[in-house]
Amino acid sequence: MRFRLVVDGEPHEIEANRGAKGIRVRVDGAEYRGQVRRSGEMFLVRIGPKRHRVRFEAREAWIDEAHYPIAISGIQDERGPRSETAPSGGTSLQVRAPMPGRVVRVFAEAGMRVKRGQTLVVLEAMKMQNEIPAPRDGTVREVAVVEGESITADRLVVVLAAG
Amino acid sequence: MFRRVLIANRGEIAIRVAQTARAMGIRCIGVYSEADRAALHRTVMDESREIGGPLPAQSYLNIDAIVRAATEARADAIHPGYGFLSENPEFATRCAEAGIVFVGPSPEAMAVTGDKVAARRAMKEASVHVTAGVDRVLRGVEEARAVASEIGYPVLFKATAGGGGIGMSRVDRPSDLSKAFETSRSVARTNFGNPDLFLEKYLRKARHIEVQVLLGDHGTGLGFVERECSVQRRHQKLVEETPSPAVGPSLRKRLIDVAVRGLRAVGYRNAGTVEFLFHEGRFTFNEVNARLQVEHPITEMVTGVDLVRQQFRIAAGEAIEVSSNDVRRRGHAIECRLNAEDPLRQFLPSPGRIVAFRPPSGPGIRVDAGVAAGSLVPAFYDPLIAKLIVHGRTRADAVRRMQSSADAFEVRGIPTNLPFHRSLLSERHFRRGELWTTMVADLRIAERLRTRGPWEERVAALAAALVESGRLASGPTYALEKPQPSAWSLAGRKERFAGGAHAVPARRRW
Repeated sequence: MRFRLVVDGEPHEIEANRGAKGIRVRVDGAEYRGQVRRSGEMFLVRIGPKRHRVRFEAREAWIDEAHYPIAISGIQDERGPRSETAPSGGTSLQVRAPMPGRVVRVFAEAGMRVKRGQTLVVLEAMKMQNEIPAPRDGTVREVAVVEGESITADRLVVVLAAG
Repeated sequence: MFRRVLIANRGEIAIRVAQTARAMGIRCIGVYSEADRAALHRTVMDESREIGGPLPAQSYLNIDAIVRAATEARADAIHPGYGFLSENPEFATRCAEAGIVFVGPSPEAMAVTGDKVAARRAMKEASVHVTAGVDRVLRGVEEARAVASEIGYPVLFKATAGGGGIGMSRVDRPSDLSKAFETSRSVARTNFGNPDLFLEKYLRKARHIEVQVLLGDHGTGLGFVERECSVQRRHQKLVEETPSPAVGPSLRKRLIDVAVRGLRAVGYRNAGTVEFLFHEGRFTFNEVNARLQVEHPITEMVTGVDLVRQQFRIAAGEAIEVSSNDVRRRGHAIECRLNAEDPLRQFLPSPGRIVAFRPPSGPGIRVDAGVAAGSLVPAFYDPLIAKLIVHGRTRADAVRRMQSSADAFEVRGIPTNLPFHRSLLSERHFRRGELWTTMVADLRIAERLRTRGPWEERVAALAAALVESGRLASGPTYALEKPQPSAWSLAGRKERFAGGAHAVPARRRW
């Protein structure tokens, strides 16, 4: 399940997966493993060696001894339609920018066959050039950026088709 | 002394330079790019001018725009800070032509120190030991191969015009040489407009040790106690300290003498740093940084000397206020660089909006920051957002103080490398003072990180509880687009309405 969680004015992208051994939560890309036990209105959450107490109250949450206003939006259940990650046809894959930056090189061309790990575009941010690789083998269906363009994080860069 | 200085930089260093200038009674003129209209450094200047678009080439590297701004603002001096145009001889020349004093070395000295091959030759002539390598530009891959087999692998390709580790590549065996040669050349061409390479012997497990020097007129000047900057990632410094745990009094004296002699030999004036590699008991010259450095505050912490003040004095033809006879070192200082980089995602840049910024404070703690709560960190510039600097009586004291300060430092809104620093500070090699330039990679310090810190753990706990509570399963049952104000601000508002003890007048509408 994915959602956007605003805590105390600060937005976080959350991805949570429940498993047999507890819950895996990714907060802005960093993964935490936890166990949750319910005790009345209180949720006792263990993350690594630490325990946290969470309680909900209208539009606020108590975490340990402090409470914060929270807001949730963009909930996507795994069972629901995952429109943002797999659009037209189940075999295409959208490659998105991991960070904001400027497109300094575009290697990908529509129709090009690429191997997993091959550089599609080079994105420059904060004087660092970061290569965005193909996440798997495939054919470039669409290139959504041009050289010199400044893009935001999560912007669509390339659409890859399997095979 | 100068009356008006234009500070040709942004971020923490622009603010740092302005602090000293204002304390000396010099009016500060700031510059900013389109992306920096709301940047913090603007707010500390007496006046500031927009100089161009968000890309560095359009603004902070735009010599025409900066010299024009300085002329229009009637500046009598320009301080370049570090990075950007600070080591650009052409910029220094253009300042002089416009009748403005460039706070730094002469263009001629900069031309020598900025060309790494020329700098090696000049140091050799001054009998400074240089790292084994070639003192000429390599004409082709065959020449590189011949030199490499002569000095022995591993070797390191370097760009003659390089800096900041860009264009360097390490070669461990002959079969990798031609590819590394081509890669380095193309990186050097793109970044410095000059593909020229030379090569040096690559020293395994070396320490990076450097000496801060101030040189004035009439042969005055001094070198300071060394700084060690071995904690690096991909040739980028992350933590610096002074003195070095590896240097004793006699070695220190030799290092300082050599650094001062080397810089004098190239006709240097003003503040500069000579970098050395320390390997198996020997130190060899690496390069000269012809500017104020990022890590200058640790020297200030242990000596009490304001280096920026001395830079202004030297540039104005006034005497340096300290000499090698009266400069005293007290205790130990450490600096951690806070970067907008995510150590949990291979140090990916993390520009964005800072929501909360709570630096630590207390005795022996200094924070040089370029941002505040609400600041936007643009993707166009360096990731350095702040420097945390601490002082202690001993190294162990300083490490402990740094540890508690790094723990207390809270930055929210964007990931920073704070978790990396917290982890490094408890690492046993670091604690013992056993440092080398590839220790971060060799010890896999970043790879072993598990958490961004206590705040993110709380958010994770909250998210986990939300999912388990079933509140999300049936859709956004209490999703809000706008977060409600906190109970504190509601209480404050009620109190204001009630005209209580903390009542403040409501804002007037015009």
